[in-house]
Amino acid sequence: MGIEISNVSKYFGDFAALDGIDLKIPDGELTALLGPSGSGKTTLLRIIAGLETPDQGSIRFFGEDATQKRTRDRKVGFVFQHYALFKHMTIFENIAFGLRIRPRKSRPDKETIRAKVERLLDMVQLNGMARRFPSELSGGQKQRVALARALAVEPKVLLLDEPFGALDAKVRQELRRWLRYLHDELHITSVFVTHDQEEALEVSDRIVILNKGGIEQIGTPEEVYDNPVNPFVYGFLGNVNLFHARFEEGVLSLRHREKDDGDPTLFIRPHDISIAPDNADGKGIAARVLTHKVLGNRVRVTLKTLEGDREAEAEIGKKEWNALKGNDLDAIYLRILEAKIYAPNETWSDYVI
Amino acid sequence: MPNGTFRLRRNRSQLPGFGLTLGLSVAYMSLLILVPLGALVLFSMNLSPREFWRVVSDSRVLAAFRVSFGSTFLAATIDMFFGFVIAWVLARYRFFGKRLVDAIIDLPFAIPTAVTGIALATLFSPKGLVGGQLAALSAWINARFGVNVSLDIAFSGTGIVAALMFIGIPFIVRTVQPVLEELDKEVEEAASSLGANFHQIFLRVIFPSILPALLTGFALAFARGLGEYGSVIFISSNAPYESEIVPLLIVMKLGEFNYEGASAIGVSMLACSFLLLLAINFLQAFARNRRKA
Repeated sequence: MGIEISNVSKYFGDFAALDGIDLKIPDGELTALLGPSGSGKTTLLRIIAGLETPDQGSIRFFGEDATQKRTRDRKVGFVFQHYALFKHMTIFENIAFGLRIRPRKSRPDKETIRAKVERLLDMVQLNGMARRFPSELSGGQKQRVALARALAVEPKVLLLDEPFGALDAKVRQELRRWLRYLHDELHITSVFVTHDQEEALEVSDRIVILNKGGIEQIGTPEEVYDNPVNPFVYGFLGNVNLFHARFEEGVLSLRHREKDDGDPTLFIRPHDISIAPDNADGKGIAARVLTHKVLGNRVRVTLKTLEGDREAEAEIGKKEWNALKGNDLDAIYLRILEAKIYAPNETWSDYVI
Repeated sequence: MPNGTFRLRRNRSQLPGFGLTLGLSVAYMSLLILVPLGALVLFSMNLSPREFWRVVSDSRVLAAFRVSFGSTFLAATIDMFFGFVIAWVLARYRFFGKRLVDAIIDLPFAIPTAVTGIALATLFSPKGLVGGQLAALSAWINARFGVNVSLDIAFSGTGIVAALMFIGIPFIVRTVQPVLEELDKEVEEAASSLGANFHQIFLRVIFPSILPALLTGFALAFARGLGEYGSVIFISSNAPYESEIVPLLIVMKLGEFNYEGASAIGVSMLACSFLLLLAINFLQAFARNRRKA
C-alpha cells in the first residue's frame, strides 16, 4: 500500500475540516480527491505533505509511519495551484533547487545536475527555456516547470493541489492529458485535488469523493459514475433532474405534485432523457419545449410536462435535435431511459404519469 | 485603416495625461530640488578651484567627512539588521500590542530631531539612567581587569551612531515590512517539500526576494542620516577631528559669515551623497533584474 491514512481529523476552531478519515492510496496509482470547496480535500492533501498537522490520526508512507515527519523529510513532490515558483531564479535554477540544497554527501555533482535538469526540461517540453525567468512563461508552462521541479528530487509521492485550476480551458485540457500520459510513463504514486468532476473522471485511476470533511465514496471513475452511492455523489458527478414520485400498486407514479414523507425521489441525468415527436410505445410523457441551448454537438433542452407542470432538462445529440425541431415543439414526448432512487428497500419496474 | 493611425492609437495608454503629468513632475522637481541645489553649486563657484580645494581638503573638514560618512554607514548597517528583524516580527507574527509597536516605529519620523538628541543625551550622559550604569560598568572593568575601556555613549562617536540609528530605523522597517507581508507562503512550502530546511529557505528564497527592499531602506536611512543635524549636535561632544559632523561644520562656517566656504563643503557633500545613492541604486537594479530579467 502506498499511503495509509487512518482516523485523521483536523479542526479549525469548531469547524471540522476533516473528520476521522480512513483512506488507503494504492502504490503507483493516480488518485483524485474530488469534492466541493470546504470539503476538506486540500487540507487532506496538505496533511499528507506534512504542511498541516492532523489533530488526530496517523499517516503511513509505504508501511512506515510518517505522522511526525517534517515536510522536508517526507520525500513528497508538491505542485501548487498558483505554481509557487522561485521568481528570482531561472527555470534551470528552479528545477535544480531540490538537488543543489542537498547536503554535500548526497548532492550530485554539477554535471549530473545539469544533465538531469536538461532531461526534465525535455520531459515537460520546455527545452531552450532553461535561462528564462518564471515571469516570462505562460501559466501552463509555469505549471510544467513546477512539476519538473517537484520530480527532480525523485519523490516517492507526487501531490498536486488543483494543478490546473488557474489555467484556461484549452490549456487545462492539454495538461490533463499530458499528466495522465506522464503518469503512465513514471507510475509514481500520485494524489491530486480537484473540484472539477470531469477532470477527476478523465485523469484518475481512482476517485475519492469528499464532502464536509468525510469520504462519501471511493472507486474507479466508472464505478463512481455508474453507481453513485448517495444523492450527494450523484449530484456532484453531473447534472441531475429530480422528480418526486409515489408507488401506486407496484407502479411508480409521477402524477402527484405534493411530496409526502416516504415518497422516493428519482434522480435522472439529462442525457438519460430522450425526446420524440410521437408516443409510439405509449411510455412517453407529454411535454413541451421551453428553451434550448446548443452546446457544440450537444443540445440542452428545457422541457415542461403538460400534466403536472414539472420542469426537466434533457441533453440530446445535435442530430436528434435537428430531426426534432421541425415538429410541433409544444407537443412532444419525453422518455426516461434510466433513473436512480435512493430510498431503502424499494424497487420499481415501470412508471406512469 | 491606414497603418500609421492604427499604430498611433495602439501606443496610447488607457489613461491620458502623460504630457501633463511629466511636465508637472519636471516643473515641481526643478522648483523644489534642482533650482536650490543649482544655486548652491553656482554660489560655490565664487571660489576659484584652488580656493575650493583648499576649503574642502582642510584636515578638519576631511575628519568631519570621515565622521559623517563613517557613523552614518555604521548606523544604517546596524539598522538594516535590526530593522529587518522588526519588520519580520511585524509581518510574520501576531502578538499582543502589535498595533502599538507598529505605531511606535513611525515616531522617529515625527519627533523634532532636537528633542531626540536631548532625550538621548540625557539618557546616556554619565549621570543619566543608562549612561550612569555604563560608566559604573566601565569603572568596574577598569578596576577588575586593568583594561581601560570607555563605554561612554553620550558625547562620543558612539552617541552619533546611536542618534542616527534612532533616526534611520523606520526607513528600513517601512520598506521591508510590506515586501515581507506580500511574500507567498506557498513558495516557502514548495521549498520545504523539496527538502530545504529553514536556513536554506531563508537564505535562498526569502532573502533574495527582499534584498531590493532592504537596499532601498538602507539608502533612505543612509541619506537621511547624512543630513541629520539636530539630534547629533546634542548627543555628540562635537570635538573637532573626533566627533564633528559635516552639517555642523557648515553651520559653523555660516556663523562666521563664510558663505563660500559653507557652500563648498555643501557641494562636496552633495556630490558624495549623490555618488553613493547612485551606487546603491545600481546595486538595487541588479538585485531586481535578477528577478525580472
